[in-house]
Amino acid sequence: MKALARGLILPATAVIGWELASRAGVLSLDTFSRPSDVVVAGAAAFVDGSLLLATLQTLQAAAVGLCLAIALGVPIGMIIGVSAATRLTVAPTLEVLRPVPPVALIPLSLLILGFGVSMEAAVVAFACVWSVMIATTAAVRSMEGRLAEVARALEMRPLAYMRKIVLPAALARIAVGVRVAVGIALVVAVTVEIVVNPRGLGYGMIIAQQSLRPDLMYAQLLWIGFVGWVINWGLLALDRRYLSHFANAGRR
Amino acid sequence: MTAIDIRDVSLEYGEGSGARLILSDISLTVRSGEFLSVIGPSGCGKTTLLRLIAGLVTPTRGAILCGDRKVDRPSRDRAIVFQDYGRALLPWRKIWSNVALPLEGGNIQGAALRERAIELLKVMRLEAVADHYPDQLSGGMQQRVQIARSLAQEPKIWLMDEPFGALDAITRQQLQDEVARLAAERNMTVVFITHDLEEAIYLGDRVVVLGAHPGRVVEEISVDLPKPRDQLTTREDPRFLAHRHHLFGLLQGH
Repeated sequence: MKALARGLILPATAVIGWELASRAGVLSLDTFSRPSDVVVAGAAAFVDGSLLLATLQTLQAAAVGLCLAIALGVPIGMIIGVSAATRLTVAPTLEVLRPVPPVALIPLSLLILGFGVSMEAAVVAFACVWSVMIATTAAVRSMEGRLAEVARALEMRPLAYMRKIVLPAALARIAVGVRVAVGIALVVAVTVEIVVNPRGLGYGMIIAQQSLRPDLMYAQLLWIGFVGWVINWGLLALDRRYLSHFANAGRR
Repeated sequence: MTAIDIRDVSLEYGEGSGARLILSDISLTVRSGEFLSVIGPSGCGKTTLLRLIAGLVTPTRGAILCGDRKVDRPSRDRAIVFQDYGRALLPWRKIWSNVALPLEGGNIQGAALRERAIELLKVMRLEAVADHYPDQLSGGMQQRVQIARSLAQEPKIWLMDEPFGALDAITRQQLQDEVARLAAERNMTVVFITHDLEEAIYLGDRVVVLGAHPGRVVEEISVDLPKPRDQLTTREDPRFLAHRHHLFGLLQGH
């Protein structure tokens, strides 16, 4: 409780200062709005459902993209991690693709998929797949070597080995990669919406800005930050609840 | 009948002029049902010898035969008990599930799998912790779990790599007696690596002493002590002390 109160000192001071500066005429209303107006605009958008709809649209694209990234990144990362031959074959291609800025793929995915959730999810997936894949590869490569010998001694088949030993041993570190990817997913989804895609919170913000509604723009900005925080907090709680026994499976 | 036949086995790491000879011309046979202790100073390659028998490492020269088959990879007939129990168990699985690992994919499935695992845990008096995780158990208990898991394989050959090296004296003596009893009951052939001279004599039908740099057989003795052995009387037996005396000198390099 005390920690919470301490943590609130800075934002509270900023909001009060902002409000006072605005009322004193130091900050222009056209660009900075007023915290009280922002609250009113946010509440209105909340009540008429537009804020929730936009949030769901953004989260949908981010989630679909993230799932794609996990579905691709985890298996590929596992294979690269286990097999040096595959690593040598695939790594150069991946190294060339990885530095491509995800946002640079917007024109391409727009061309192929058109406006809508698919093109947004595709760009999100491309942005997220790397952190998932790299975390998976690193996790698999740092796996306790003894466990591999236990599997060999039991004449375990490759698929059973992957499923029963490698994946669980790597799970805690894969989760770290996924958590990083979640943050990236939100950023990229909102970016795609701001740049081209007419849906979601990013689009809502650009429309508010263009229709001279800075109060609404700020409300959505703060809301995005809040949503991101809640998601991260939820993921950490899930981690603690379900992954505690997986956490010590790496090399010590 | 011969269970393990090691024929002129040498192992080198590295190649050319940088090659290091780890084991040099080891020849040993282990009879079926025999308990063989292998002892030697650190760096003599005793663990490497065990890994060769297990099939985790292939010899540079020579061959190892188990029955009439050449060892070129691990087999379920040969169970390994590693020294580092903490790393050899699956930390994300409950105790019973760790023990069930070798049974999976076999004939036993579903609820019967857990029942079979619990039976094996009872052998090691661990049934009370079946639903715990490995990190909730003491070192001695974790090693019992690994032993129970190795029994699930129903091995003909039991390969133990300094299994009690990290345990306290009392736990170690209890486990020595349990391993001796299980090996006799199940008629397993055992190769038991240790750096503890008394443990080697106490458990072994035969003790092989390895020398270091490179690893080679220095001495082989038969232990003519009656079985089952007893922590008090066996260790006070004049023959035990004579063996200890003889081997102690060898290990000190006299």
